[in-house]
Amino acid sequence: MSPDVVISARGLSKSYRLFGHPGDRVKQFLSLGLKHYHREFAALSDVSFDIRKGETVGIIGRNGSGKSTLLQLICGILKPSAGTLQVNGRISALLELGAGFNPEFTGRENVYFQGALMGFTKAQMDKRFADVAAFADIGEFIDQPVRIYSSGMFLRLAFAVAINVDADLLVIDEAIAVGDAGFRARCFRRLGELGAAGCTILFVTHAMEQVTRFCNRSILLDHGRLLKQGPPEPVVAECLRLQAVTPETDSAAHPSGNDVAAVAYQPNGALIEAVRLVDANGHEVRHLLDGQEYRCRFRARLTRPANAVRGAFLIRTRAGVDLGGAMTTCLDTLSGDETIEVELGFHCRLNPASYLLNVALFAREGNIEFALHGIQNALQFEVTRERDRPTLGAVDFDCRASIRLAPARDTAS
Amino acid sequence: MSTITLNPLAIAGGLARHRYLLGQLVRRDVLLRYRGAMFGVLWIFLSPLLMLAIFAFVFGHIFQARWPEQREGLPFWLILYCGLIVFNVFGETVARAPAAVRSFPSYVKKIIFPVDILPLVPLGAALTHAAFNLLILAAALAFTGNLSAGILLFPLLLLPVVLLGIGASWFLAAWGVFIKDMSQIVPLFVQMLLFLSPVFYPASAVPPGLTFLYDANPLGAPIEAVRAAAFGLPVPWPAWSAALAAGIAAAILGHAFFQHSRDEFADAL
Repeated sequence: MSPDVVISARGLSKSYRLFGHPGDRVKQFLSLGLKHYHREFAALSDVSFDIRKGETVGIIGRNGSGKSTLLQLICGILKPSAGTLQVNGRISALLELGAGFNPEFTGRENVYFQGALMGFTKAQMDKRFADVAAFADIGEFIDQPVRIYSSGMFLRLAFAVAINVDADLLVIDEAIAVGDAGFRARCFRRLGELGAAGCTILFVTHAMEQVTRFCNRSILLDHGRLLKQGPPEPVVAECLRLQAVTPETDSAAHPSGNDVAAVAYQPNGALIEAVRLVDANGHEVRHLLDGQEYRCRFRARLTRPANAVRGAFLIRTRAGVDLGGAMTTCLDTLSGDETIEVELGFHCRLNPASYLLNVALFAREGNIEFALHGIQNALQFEVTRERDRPTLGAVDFDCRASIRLAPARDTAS
Repeated sequence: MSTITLNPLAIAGGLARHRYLLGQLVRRDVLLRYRGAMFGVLWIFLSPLLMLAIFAFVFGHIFQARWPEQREGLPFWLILYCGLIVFNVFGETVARAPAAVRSFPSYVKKIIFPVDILPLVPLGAALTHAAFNLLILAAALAFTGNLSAGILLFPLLLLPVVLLGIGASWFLAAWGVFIKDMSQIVPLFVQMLLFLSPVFYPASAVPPGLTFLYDANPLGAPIEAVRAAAFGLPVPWPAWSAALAAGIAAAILGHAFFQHSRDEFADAL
């Protein structure tokens, strides 16, 4: 193992023994392995990877893909059923919000206790306490019992401790997701500093833009197997593709993993397929950043001759309010066996929320324009923003809002 | 990952590394019991005092019980109290041991934690209570004019009980994770053991045909030894040493069993 490798996993597997009844575990124990009273459930199978010092790695995958199990194995909380795992250095883990905190004790007492868990004495924690309190920024609540904390305060304190214990490896499981945008930004800034200082960071998240923005590397797990690893963008794209094609949703009714069902009209001379949303680099995306350029593309196969064929796009809110869109110019006299490519480039100027996209293909006969085919809610996409700011409504007018005290006036007048 | 060791020095070294954490856990355990109560930590004195008062009333005034060969001026209830302090170190520890790991699933599953120190927390709490009890005993002995320097041997003489408690705790805490019934069975067993140990009577009062039963109970010798020391009589060292050896063996085996089962804790909780 080369010296800068912090985590090295080879053929790592973890399976759980599921017992139907608590007594079965005793029977199993007494039978000395001669008889089996349990079912095996493989949470992780044959996973291999190396993580080097100073890397920030995002672990992604659908629910139940084995992400948390992998983190628990790395922390030494679970023991692998097969394979080898080597971890070098001090680990600081944030696997569940508030684990290891006692609600009856004050924030201060809990900070010292967390320190003790990491092997720090009171004197050593005294030196770090100011940093912890400053990062948590919960004011006088630090001397109140933790049970009266809001979940946000809880998170701030837990996170502040986790990053102030001189760990070589920081393991975070979806914890940051609960914080408000300001705190999240502060967390990621701090994680960036830690990474630059040589701390290896491993985190599980469902927020894909966090992975593409903050990680050097990403690992995609699915059904306990390592599906893809490497630079974040392609791994995230693969993950989004997986999320889009879930086996339990009917792919005809939900062509793209929408939670709002797509409604396809009866084809009348053309069939729209492959509706995609791509970013400036041509990667398929489902999470858009406010202020960036994107393109929406679809293809349509004609099934009969048509005239003055043009495509249309319309972006709507989930409540069904039309926000904007465009129609293409016309293609004249088509014989009926062509495939048409339609593209809408647009500048995303939307406030963070979820939006729907309608697509349609029209043709003209005489004076009447009619739809060859159309799909309502063909795509659903999320818009997020780099630095969140309070906004209203759906459209981003690039607002700059401010407030100040009016200059003091002479009250005598 | 956990490795099983039978080397007592390695086990002790592992525990010593986490002594600050263990101290914090014990402190929390003791404080939590009294937190929110009106008299707070004062109960640590109040409850044994009330116990002692009831002993004095029931055994001193109602039963007028007497110890065989009881010394003049040494009340029966003090002799009883002395044995009970020793027994309770074991009893309190063992009764809480099955829940020692099970009641902290987040320590096992959600954070990086030296789980093998969890079963020692009830023992630490029991020893804390024993220390306060000992102070009260010393005060009561001084008050009745029976105080002797032998009481200073108390911590040393308690050692076999502590080791037996550690061993039993590791064993029971591991079983308690898998089998919830342990929390019901063990307190019953502790009650039975109380009457089978020479607490309410001296070992010499046991009929000769049954002494083998008492020799098999490793708690008997330390209880007798502590009582002898507290009242200024010669300590029966050979029996005490045998109990110490049994204690060391119990601690080593208990630790081995605990380490053997702990890999399954996270799966079972």
